Amino acid sequence: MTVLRRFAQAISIIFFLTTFLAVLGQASFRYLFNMPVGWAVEVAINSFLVGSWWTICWQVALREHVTFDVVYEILPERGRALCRCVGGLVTGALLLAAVPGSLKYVEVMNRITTGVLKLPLSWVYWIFTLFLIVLALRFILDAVRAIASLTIAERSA
Amino acid sequence: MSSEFLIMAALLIGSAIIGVPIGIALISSSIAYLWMRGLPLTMATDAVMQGFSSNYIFLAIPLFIFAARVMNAGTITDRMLAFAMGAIGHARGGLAQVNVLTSLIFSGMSGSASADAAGIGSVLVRMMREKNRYPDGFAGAITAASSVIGPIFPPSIPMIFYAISANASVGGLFLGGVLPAILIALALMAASYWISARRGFPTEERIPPRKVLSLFRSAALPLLTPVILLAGIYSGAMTPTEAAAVAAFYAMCISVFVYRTVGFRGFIDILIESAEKSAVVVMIIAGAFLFSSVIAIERLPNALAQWVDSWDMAPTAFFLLVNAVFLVLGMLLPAATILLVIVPVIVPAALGLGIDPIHFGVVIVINTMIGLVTPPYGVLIFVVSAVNRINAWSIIREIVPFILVLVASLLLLVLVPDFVMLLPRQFGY
Repeated sequence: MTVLRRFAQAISIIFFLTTFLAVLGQASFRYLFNMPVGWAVEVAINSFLVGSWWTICWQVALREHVTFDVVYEILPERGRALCRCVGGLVTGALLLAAVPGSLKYVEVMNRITTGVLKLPLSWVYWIFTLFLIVLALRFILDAVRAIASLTIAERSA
Repeated sequence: MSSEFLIMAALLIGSAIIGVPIGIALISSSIAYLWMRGLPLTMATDAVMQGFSSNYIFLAIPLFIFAARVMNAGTITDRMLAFAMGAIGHARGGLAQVNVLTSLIFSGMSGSASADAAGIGSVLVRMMREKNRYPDGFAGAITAASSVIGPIFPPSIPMIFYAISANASVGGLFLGGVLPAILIALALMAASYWISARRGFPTEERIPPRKVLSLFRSAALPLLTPVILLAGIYSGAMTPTEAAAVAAFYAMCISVFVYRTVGFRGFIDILIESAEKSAVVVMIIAGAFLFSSVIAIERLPNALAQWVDSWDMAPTAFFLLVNAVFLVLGMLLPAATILLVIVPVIVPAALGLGIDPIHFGVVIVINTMIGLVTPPYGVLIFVVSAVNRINAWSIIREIVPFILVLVASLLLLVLVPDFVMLLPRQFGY
C-alpha cells in the first residue's frame, strides 16, 4: 500500500512541478528573451488538470474536501454512519451514471487536438472519466463500511 | 425555475447537509439534473474540462498556494514577527497590535486566511498566553479576526475565485483590495487599543530605532514578495498567473539558497501539500463550472436581473441587501462556495444596476471573509481553537467587538466606493 501511495504521490509531484516550470518558463522566455512560447500554456493547463484529478482520485481523503459539516459534526456515531451510507450510495450511483457519457465524450475528443502541440484532447480528458469511476467506487465503499459499522454496533448492542 | 431544478437543489442541499463534499455534491446533483431533463450526460465532462481549459487564470491558485507553503516552511515568518514586534510592540496591547500588523504583512505573501491563522497566528497566540498576560479567548479572537486580512490584500485566492465567476480583472481586484486591507487593519488595531486600555492589557519593551531598522533589513527579502508580484502585474510584464509562478520561484530561492531552511525532503513535502491543497480547490471549482452550466440552462442570472430591475431598486440598496444576505450565508457556507456558486447568479443583476465589478468583487470577498469568523461556520475560529487548544466559546465571546468592527468597515466600503476604486482607477481599470 505504501508503495502504491508513494507512486501516486510521485505522479502528483511530477505534474505539479511541470505546471510550475511551464508557467515560469513562459514568463522567463517572454520577458527575458522576448520569445513567447505558446506550448507552455498548453503544458501548464493540461499537466495541472491531469495532476489535480489524479491527486483527487488517489490522495485526497473524502473528509479533506470542503464540506458543510455543521450538521454532520453534531450527529452521534450512528447518525454519521447513516449519512455516509445514504450519501455514499446516492453520490456513487450518480457519478457512475455519468461514466458512459464521459467515455463517449473522450472518444469524440480523440479526434480534436490541442492548438499548438496538436495532441489529442482525449489524452487529457480521460482523467475526468477516471475521476468519476474512482470517486464513485470510493463513495460506495465508504457506504458499505458505514453499513458494516452499523451492523456491528447493532449486534454488540 | 423548472421542477427538475428544484429537485436538483433539494438533492444538492440534502447531500451537503449529510456531509458529502460540496464540490462533489455540485457535480452529482448537476448530473441528476441533466438526466431528469433528458440532456446528454456528455455535458458533465464537457462543462468541467472545457471550463478549466478556457480559464488560464485558475492556474494562479496552485502557484500562490505553493508560494505560501514555501514561505511558511522557512524562518521567514519569524523574521516578520520580530520586525512587527520592534515596530509596534510597545503600543497599548502590544502583542494584539503585532498580531494585526503581522497578518497585514503576511497577507502580501500568502493570500490564505487559514494559513495565517494556523501559521504565524499560532505563534502569536502562544506569546499572548504566556504568563496569562492576555485571556485565551482574546488571544484567539484577535488572531482569527486579523487573519481575515490575508485574502483581502493581494495576492488573494478568493479574489481569483470571484474573477473566474464574474469574468473580472484579477489585476484590478488585487489593486482594489490594498486600501480596504489597510483600513481593516487600522480599524482592528484601534479596537485592540481601546479594549486593551479598558482591560489593562500589557505593552512590550520599546526597541531602539537602530535595532528596528536591523530587524527590517532581516525581513526585507520576504517583504519584497508583494512588491515583485504587483510590479510584475501592473508593469504589464506578467499575467497574474505568471506573477504567481515568479513569486513562488522567488520564495523558493529565499528559503533554499539565502536562508537555507528548506532542504530536498522539505521541498518534496511542500510539493505534495501544495498538490493536495490545490486538488481540493479544483474539486470545488469543477463543481461550480458544472453548476454554472445548469443555472445558464435555467437562465437564473437573467431572471434575477429582471426581477431586481422590476423592483426599481437603487444600486446602493441592492448592494446593501446583497451584503446582508451574504453575511447570513457566510455564517453557514464556505467562502469558496459562495464565490463560485452564488456570485455568478448575482453578478449580472449588480452590473445591470451599474455597480462596478471590481467594487462589487472586493466588497463581496471581504463579506465572505467576515463569514470565516462568524459562528456557527466560522472556520477561522475553529482553526485557532484546534491549533492552540482554546475553547471555541471563549473565542466566540471575545470576537464579537471585532466582528462589529469588520461589519462597520464593510458598510463603509459599500457606501464609499473610492476606498476600493481609488487605486484601480489610477491604473486604468
